[in-house]
Amino acid sequence: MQLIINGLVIGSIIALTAIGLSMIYKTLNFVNFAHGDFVAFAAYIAFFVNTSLGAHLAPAFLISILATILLGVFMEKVVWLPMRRKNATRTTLIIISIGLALVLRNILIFVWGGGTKNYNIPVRQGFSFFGATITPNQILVIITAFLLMFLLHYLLSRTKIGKAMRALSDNIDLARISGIDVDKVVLWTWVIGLGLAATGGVLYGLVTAIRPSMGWYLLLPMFAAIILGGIGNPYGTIAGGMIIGLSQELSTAVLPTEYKFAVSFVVMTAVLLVKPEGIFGGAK
Amino acid sequence: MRGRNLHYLTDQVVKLDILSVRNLKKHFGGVKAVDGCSLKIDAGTVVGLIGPNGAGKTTMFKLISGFEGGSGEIMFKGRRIDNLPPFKIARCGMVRTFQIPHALTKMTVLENLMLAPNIQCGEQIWNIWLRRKKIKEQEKLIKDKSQKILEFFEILHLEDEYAGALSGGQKKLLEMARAMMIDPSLMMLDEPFAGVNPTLARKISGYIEELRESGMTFLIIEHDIPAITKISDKIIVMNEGKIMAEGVPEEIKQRQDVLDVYLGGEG
Amino acid sequence: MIEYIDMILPYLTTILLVSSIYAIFALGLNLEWGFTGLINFGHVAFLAIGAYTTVMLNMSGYSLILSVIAGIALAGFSGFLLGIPTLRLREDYLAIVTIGFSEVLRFILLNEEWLTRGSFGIHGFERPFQDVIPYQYYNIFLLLLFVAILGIIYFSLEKLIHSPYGRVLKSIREDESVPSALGKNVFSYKLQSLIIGSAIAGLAGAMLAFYLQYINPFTFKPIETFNAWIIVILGGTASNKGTVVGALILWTFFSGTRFIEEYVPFESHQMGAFRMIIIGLLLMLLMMHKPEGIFGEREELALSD
Repeated sequence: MQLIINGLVIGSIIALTAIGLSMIYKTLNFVNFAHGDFVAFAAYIAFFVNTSLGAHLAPAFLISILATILLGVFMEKVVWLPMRRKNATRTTLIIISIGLALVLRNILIFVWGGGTKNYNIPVRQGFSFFGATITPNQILVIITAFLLMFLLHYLLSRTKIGKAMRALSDNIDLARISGIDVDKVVLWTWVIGLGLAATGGVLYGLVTAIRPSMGWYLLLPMFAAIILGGIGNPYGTIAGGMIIGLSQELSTAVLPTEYKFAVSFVVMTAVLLVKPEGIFGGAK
Repeated sequence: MRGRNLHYLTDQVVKLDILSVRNLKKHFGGVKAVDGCSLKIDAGTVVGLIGPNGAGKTTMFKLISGFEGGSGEIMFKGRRIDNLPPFKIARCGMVRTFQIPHALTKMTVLENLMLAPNIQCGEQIWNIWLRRKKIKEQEKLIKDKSQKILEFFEILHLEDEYAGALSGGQKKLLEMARAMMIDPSLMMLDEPFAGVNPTLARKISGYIEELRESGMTFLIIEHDIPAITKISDKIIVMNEGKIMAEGVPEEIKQRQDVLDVYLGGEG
Repeated sequence: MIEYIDMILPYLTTILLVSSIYAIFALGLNLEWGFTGLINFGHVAFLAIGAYTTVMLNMSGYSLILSVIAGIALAGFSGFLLGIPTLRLREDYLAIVTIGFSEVLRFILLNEEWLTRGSFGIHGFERPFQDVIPYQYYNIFLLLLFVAILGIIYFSLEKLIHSPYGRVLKSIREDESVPSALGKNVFSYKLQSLIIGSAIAGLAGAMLAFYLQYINPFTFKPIETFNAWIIVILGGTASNKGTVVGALILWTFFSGTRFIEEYVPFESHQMGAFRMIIIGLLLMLLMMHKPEGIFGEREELALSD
């Protein structure tokens, strides 16, 4: 049972961060390998504001999200947009994102060192739940994650910008011709995608120790979630995230804990080989 | 004695179909790109495949040449080739060109052609060190053949140019020349006349006719109706995934339903 | 003057030694990516397989030469195993799967202590001719040996690339539908490229083990794969000469920054991070503005279509 709870928690985080990755992938057509490090960045900013500036976690959370989004927008203006103008290939963009990942992660190490950090928040007792313990932090993570995912659903299906984003991900040239301001929509994709990622990062810091590599190690599960759920299908990604999170935690019942990571890899490879559109289907 | 009998038999078999397709289907999600098509192509003929945009012509091409998988039966030279990978089909003697020429821009025109033949043993890795002399000989043969074919298409003077520097029309010729290098029995051309000036178009028609005289079979997708009807022995008309008409060009040109599809439809 | 040389020589030898190891490692990657267009983000896995196999066999009593051959063979074979299911995937999927593969391998190396002694690592294995060469000259000997090996690999690859086989690889890299439509078995070529590249990485792994005299799973983190990528891109994708030069430049940079450490107010972990930041920035800037690197020809490239 404890494993199930842990699985739900990590699954929510994976789902939340993976949606951002998936959105960016669908709109910009490349895998942003730096996404994980944005997640870590957010956690560190929140940590910084919380501990060094002595703020309560809530404002730290907001500042962190803002900072991450600003960073993402900066990257868009300075790197991604010019590359799109140059018609850079998918491979070029992937390699650039790897470079960005390296830079981000090492800036974190540079400033805060390689050790673990934690937020400065009161430690609260966990509740008993069907024979296992669940802490308030964990509950907060799950609730926030689902709340945001509902918001996202509303955004995508009801608002104008949401519709524009979906049009873009279907066919970017068609969208451009029908008068959609592609660059603006792309910007919004980054804002929302990174906003979600940042939230995921801050929440992640609530339930685990903050390390520079925390984001990078989240990448593989994120990919697995996206592929499992079907690329470009945000609801599939959510389901995928939960499944991956659960399977990772449940696997520790039979495998040594270090192999949690391998679970994502195996699931992902299996899906890619057998049913590349994922369980819930989506575009390729 | 037997040999003589067989010889007599082959004299009798005047028309052999080289390609025969039965009930070919390809669905993309809900769209029926190719919806149960059957056709036969006789050896040594030029067959034009026409139809409005979205009729399924290119999908048909891809299915036949193996670039797309679907259901149905495809027989080429008496052998079933449906569901074989493209390279195996090419080795059987069928080659396709692409609507927008896929020239290998980082290689020279000559290199583009010398890549094509599959007899160069230097393409097997162990031979590079073991059979150096043979490789050299073969390279020479292949180079001579390439230059001859380039000459036929009148682009020999471009042999050392990077293919990326060629004009659109020249790239089309390169596509055809490269396809010729593997001595195909069936050449599938995808819109060879598209975007090509009238002089070049006439030249291309000439090449196709000349090659047809020496026994080559052609299946050609085209939108340029005058050009294709001039050189084809048979025209097949596709619309919405189905074959709606088939016959000699004069017949097809006069059919009202064909004209409607082009003038009234998305043509 | 002589004292000066005496001081410099060990550093120089080390730089050249490590450069040659990295050069061979990167040459393997250059074959896969530069010439065949495969995005392999798990190249370090084969470095590890080569190193660990050689070392473990040697520690079990097998002769050095046999161990090295086994290391190379197993690395190549692992490339084959990886390639069979994954080479049909599109490039971004291939990238993800290969990273996953190398990380999972590293975890196995870390956790299967009964096999690999886990994080303790392995030391005490033989090195080539270590009984014959006097200790103070050993590094020089190793350098000569490594440079000779590098030469063999380099010239073999050059011969490969300029052959009809290389021509097929180049065509695959640019547009695999063309060789496919002409009758080439593209999948088989890709697989061969991966096998050879992995075997070369395995060789580099054995060489690395000999140089370090001690290996553990942390020697084989993903950053090594990306070091190889930077070397290939910096030197010029699809240029073997460029790759070798790139290795030299990178390693000189790494060693050079170690000298500066004393003069700069960074702590040691900051120095390492700073190095990586420069590397990451370099990678980004290269891809954005000069993707052909130093020796690559713009013509030879298919990075921006």
